[in-house]
Amino acid sequence: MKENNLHKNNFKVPENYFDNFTNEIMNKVQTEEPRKRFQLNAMKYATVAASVLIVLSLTFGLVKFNDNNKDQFSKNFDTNNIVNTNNNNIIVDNHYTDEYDELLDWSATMGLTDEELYILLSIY
Amino acid sequence: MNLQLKQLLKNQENLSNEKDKEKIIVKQLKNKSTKEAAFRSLVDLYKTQVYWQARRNVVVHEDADDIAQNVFIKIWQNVDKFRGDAKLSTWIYRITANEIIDFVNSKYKKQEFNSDDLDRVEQSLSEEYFSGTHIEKQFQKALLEIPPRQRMVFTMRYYDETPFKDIAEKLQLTVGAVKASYHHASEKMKRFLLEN
Repeated sequence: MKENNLHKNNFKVPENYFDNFTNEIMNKVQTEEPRKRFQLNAMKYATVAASVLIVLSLTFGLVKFNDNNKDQFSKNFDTNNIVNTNNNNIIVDNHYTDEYDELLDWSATMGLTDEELYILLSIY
Repeated sequence: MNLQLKQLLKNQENLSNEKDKEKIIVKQLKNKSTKEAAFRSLVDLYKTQVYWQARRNVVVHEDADDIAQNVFIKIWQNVDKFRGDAKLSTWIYRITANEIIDFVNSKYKKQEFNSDDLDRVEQSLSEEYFSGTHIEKQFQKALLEIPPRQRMVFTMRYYDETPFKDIAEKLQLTVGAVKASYHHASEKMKRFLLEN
C-alpha cells in the first residue's frame, strides 16, 4: 500500500493502482464503444417497435370499441333513441369530469407541482 | 531570491505548464487521428484529481475506483461536446461531481446502504487503506452522514482549502449556497462527532 501525500488525507491506495489505471481505462473505452453503438441501435429499434405496437393496439382498440358500441346501439336502441344515447354519453363525460376534479383536489392537498400533475394526468 | 518567492514562481510555472498541456490535449482530442493518444494523456493528467475527489466523498476505495472509471468513460463518450467554454479541468471536475452525487443518491434512494456497505466502510478505514487515528476515522464516518452536495463542498474546503468562490464556480452554485452548505455540513459533522 502506498500513502498519498495530500494535505490531511489519510487514505491509502493499493500498490501500483495509479500506474495501472490508464491502461485499464484505455482497454475499457476501446471495448466500450461498439457496445454503446449496439445499445443505441437496440434502444432505437426497441423504441420504434414499441411505438408501432402502441399505435396498432390503440387503432385496434378503437376499432373494437366502435364495433362494440355499434352492437350496443343495434341491440338496445332504435334510431329514435340516438339522442338519448348521446345524453348518456354526456353523463359519462360528466362522471369523468368529476373524477378529474377529485384528482385535481387531491393533487392540491398533496402539494404536487404543475409538472407532476401533468405527468399524473397524462397517465390517468 | 528568498524561498517563498522561488515557490511562488515555481507554482506559476506549473500552472502555465498545466494550461499549455490542457490546450494541446483539447486540440488533439478534436482530431480523430490523435484522439486516442490525447485521451491517454488526459487520463494521466487527471486520474489522481478524479480519484481523490471521489475517494474523499465516498471513502470506500472500490466505489471511488468505479466512479473514476465511469467519469473517464463519460469523458471519452462526450469529449466531442466539450466546447471549451470552461477549463478542461473544471469540466472534468463537474462530471466527477455529478457522478459522485448520482452514486450517493442512488445508494440512498434504493436503500442500498446496508450492513455490507458499513462493513466496506469499516474495511476502508482499516490499516490497509487508512493511516489516520481513531478520531480521524470517526471524522470519515461523520462525513458519510452528510448529503452528497454538502459533502462535496465540505471536502473541497477541508482538504484543498478551496475558496468559496471557486467551489461555487466548479459546482455551478451561488457563493451563498456554497457557504450555507459548508455551514450545515460543519454543524452536522460536529453533532455526529459529539454524539459518537
